[in-house]
Amino acid sequence: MKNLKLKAARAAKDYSQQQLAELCGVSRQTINAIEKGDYNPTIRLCLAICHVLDTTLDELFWEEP
Amino acid sequence: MEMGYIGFFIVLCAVIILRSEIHRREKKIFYDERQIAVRGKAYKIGFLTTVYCNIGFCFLMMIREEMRSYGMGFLVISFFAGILLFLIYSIWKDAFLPIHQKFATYLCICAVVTISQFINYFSYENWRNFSEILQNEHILSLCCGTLFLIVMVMLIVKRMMDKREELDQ
Repeated sequence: MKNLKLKAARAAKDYSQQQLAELCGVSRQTINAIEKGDYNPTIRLCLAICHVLDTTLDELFWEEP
Repeated sequence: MEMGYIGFFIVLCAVIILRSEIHRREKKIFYDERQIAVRGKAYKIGFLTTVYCNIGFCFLMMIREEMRSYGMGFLVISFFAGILLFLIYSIWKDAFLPIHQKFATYLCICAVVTISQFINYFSYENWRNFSEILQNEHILSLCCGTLFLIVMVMLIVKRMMDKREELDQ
């Protein structure tokens, strides 16, 4: 399932995928895979992304059942 | 020792030394969590490919007696087939190049190895006779050159796709 919240949060901070990837210490393709829903990141990476984008885990990664 | 083996091992040593030197200088090179997971799957695919190829070739040699003289060649082909599948899967899933690794560096290594291995192969007078190649050491040069050529092409294609994807984000 696509993670549109992540994409929106990234766009709000005016970060490219490459910039976000560098700040989180991962490859651009990993950020792309997360946004497309092709990869489920670990909690560690989720927290790193939240710290960079200044949001919470719920705001970015919570999904309604 | 035959020239084919010598040429192959010289290139192999050069690649190992070059890779170690690159990693020593560029200390921040690492694979992220997704790449590690993908590479794990790629290793499995490569290993199983080698196993299945060996099983297939063993079966072939059992039913066709004249194929038994090609044993070494089949072994080399199955080994390189496993490595090729590992590399293709890694490159396709963006898990071949580590973070901060320069694309041009790997491309240069692939180009040098491809050219040197093909020079070594085509310098053999009977390079067209594939059944003879399967029985001597020149199969190493052919497989190694082909492997690195395919890797080089895949890296370039993937790089172009990546650039397009970066613009579309």
